[in-house]
Amino acid sequence: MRTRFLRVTILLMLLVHVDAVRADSDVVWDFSADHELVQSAQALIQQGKFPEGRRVIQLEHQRHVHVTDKNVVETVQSVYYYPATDSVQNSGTESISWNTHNQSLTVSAAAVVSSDGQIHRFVPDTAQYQDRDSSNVFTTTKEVVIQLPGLDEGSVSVLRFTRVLSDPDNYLFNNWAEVSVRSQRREFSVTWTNDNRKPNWYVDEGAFDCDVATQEFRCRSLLGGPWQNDDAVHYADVLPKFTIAAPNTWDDVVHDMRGLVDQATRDREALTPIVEELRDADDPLPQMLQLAANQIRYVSFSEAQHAYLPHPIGDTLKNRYGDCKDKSVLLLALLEEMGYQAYPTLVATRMQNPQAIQLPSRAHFDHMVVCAQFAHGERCFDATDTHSGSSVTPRSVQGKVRLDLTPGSIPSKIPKEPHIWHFDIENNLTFLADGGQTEALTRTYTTAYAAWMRRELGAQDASEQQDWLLRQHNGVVKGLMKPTFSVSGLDDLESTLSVESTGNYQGIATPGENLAYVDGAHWIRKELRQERINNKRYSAETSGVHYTSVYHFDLAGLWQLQDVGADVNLKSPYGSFVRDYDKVDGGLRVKSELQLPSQRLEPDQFSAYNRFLELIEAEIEIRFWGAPAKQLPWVEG
Amino acid sequence: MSETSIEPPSRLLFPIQRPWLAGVLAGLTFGVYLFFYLYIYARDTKRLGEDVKPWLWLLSPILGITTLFTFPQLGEKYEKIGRTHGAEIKNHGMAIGVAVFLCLLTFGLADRLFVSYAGLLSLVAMSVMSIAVAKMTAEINQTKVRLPDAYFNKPAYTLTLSTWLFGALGFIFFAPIMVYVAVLEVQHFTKDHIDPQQVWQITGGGVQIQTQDDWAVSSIGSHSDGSAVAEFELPDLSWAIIFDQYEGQSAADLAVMRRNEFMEQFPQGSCQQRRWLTDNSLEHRSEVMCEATFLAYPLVEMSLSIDDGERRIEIYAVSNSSTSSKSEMKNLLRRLGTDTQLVEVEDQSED
Repeated sequence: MRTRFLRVTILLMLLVHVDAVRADSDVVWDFSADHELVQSAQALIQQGKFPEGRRVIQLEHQRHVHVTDKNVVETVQSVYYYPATDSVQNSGTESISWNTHNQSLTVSAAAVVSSDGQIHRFVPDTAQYQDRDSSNVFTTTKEVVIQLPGLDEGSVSVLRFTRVLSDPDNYLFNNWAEVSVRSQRREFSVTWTNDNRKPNWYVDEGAFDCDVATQEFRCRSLLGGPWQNDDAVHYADVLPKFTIAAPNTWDDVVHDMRGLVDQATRDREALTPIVEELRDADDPLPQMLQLAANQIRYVSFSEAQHAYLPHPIGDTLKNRYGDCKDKSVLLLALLEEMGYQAYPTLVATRMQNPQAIQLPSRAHFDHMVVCAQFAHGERCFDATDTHSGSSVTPRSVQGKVRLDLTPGSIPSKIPKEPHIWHFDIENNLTFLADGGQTEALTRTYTTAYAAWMRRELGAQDASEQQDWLLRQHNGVVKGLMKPTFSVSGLDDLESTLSVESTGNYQGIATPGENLAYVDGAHWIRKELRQERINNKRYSAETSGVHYTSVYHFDLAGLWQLQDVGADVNLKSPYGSFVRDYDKVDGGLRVKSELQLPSQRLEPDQFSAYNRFLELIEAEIEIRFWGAPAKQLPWVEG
Repeated sequence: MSETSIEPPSRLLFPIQRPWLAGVLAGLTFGVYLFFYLYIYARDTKRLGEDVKPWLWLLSPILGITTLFTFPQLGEKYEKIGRTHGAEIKNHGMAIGVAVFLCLLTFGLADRLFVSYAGLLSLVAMSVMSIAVAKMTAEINQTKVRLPDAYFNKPAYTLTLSTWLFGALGFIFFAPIMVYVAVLEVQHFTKDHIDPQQVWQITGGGVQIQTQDDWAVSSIGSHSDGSAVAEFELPDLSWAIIFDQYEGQSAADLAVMRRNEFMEQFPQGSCQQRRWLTDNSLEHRSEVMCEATFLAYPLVEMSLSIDDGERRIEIYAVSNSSTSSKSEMKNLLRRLGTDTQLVEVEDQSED
């Protein structure tokens, strides 16, 4: 929906650490028993009875989970058909991820049967390994990338692997009814050896056909795919699924995780000097957040048992680094020491739909923040966010699924601010005798928008900032001039961030002739266009925009104001746009205010919502007309 | 008691006509009785030997200003007949003629200035005229003049069978019209001149537009310029409203176009624009009102556009009349802009 999201996503992707490809790893490659699977692929090639189409087709996908007293064994087997060259080019890479701390991985089949019937087995030495870690989450997974050999048009690939999880008390398997390619058969099953360890499961009605047997439960997907996605929709929020999880309750999850947090915050001796200093501060909250967010470097440090267990806060203070759990428990301890009613909260950073989480498990969550109750309500702090102040919950976690580590909690949502993108414009435009115009523009960004600007500008030196701001300006105002910029509030996270720019436009009008002025109001137009919803299938949540502008036009005695554009008052259930023109001595003042509060819209509302945006955009331009104030000397001549 | 008082009524030339009855009959027959009444009196006057052209009397109230001449002439004839029969009759012809003329003038002005009440006022005017004429003839009736012998075998004209037949036929013919007009006229006392709820309707094959009391149906695109759905020039010549359907441009663009057109014609004028949504909905309204002075007359042009996402119409009005008319037009169009609903109606032609 917003290119900003896309930009942040790309940024996050770039932040993923990609280690050098390693040939050595803990992965076991054992193809000794792949004959049956490979021969069945050969038989398919010989029969040649494949579905029509040009995109890759999942002929078979089976996942079996076996729960024992010691571990959980998961076996996955997939068979794909590649009908066209494009499908080979686009889908010829497989990858398997696993958690190195508590899982082992064995690949028992990875081969291609090409269209002529030849068998091409994967060579383990060519495997590529990646450590995956996003900048603000605590999941630590590794990934092995398998470039399938010998793929050509009409070939079939087979892949089978087994992951063994050493913790039979905490597991979660989401089996999706469909994936992004067409599927012929998707089957899932779970078995268990001890009824005391009988897993919990949940099945979305209508998407699966399931059977129960002795110590076994199996389901077959009734959907053929491919799944059609929409903007800003995560599959986990919407896709029908068959979930298998350890037999825990939410109280178990909360109790266990809170125990780990308490373990990490038990020793608070290292906090003593900090707390003493904070007690003298007028407003200690920003300082506490600054310490946890900016003075502790983010490092993914979930080694050994620390996948879920935070490091002791003394270690974090000493090392000056830590992951989201480490930073959060440090902030939590500080808040508690200062008397705040604070609590740790797990966050599923990709999910916005709590109802999509049916079975209790900590594995749903990949992030930790700290929330606290204030006189005006709750506020959450993300100690990995180094650009947001303490006055508002960071945008990155607003609206996301949460689990408070407090007794009785169940998944819910972190509230979303009605207007995430809040900025104000004051623009002084003065006409010049040569027909040009000077512009003195001040853009003031607030809360989440200020944090976003700080993230963009914070790591740049002055010249880079000028270049970035010029690109931003020209991207909006289409390069009509080259202004100079100054930024204030960049380092003070608690303040607004302002960008002031000055510059001259050329050839705006011709003095001595009638003036018909049109200002494109490009800044607000840009915001509007980003707010359009292009979803077709799934509900969408608007991000929330609050924009105000005051344009002062000084006609400099060159024209006499005749009349002005329309006073606008567009109010709808989706927001409002109001504009007023005020004639002032020697010119004009134009005030505009756009409010599009964040809200969840269903598909049948998209058309009306987008029409409202179009109606606003049609009224965006600022217009006025003037007559020459006097005959100019050169005109008279 | 005079000699003539014992004569049988059927022999009377000018029987007694009650003025109120003449007024009622004129009203019931939508004024036709007045013409009949004048014709009969002129005919009998001619029978008494006076130089009178009955057909001219038929036209007299229609021609209007001729009443200032014809009624004094009739009074003069009555005065002469009265003298012949030993009765003194004053000539009130000029007074009656002026009264009738004023009635006609009122009718004409009502038609132009008070469009909504013109029908009702015309009925009143006809009745007043008939009462005035009956009042005038009542005096000569008192003389109970007899027709010459040559006409004795003619039936008496008043309250005779033919009179009642004529009145009944007139009533049957005009009564439905009168009832319809009366209902609409009464509605004008309680409703807007143009009902905002019924101004604009769209059918599957065309558009129904209501102005005043009439519906007009026009197919989309059938108008001569290819764009206007229908145009109306209201009975009041001082202003006109044009309904149009526009495509391909936003309400803002349309408003600017109207503004520019006006200001090109009247550079000293000024325009005001405003745009809003109706009742928190997505029905978009746009208004432009431009004012200027043209040849000492205040000139107003106003454009209202309504866009509900599926249809876009423009109500465009121009006025160059008196200040009161301009004010009326402004108020009317503002109401239209605020209250008008685009109503999709079933296309009857497809049934």
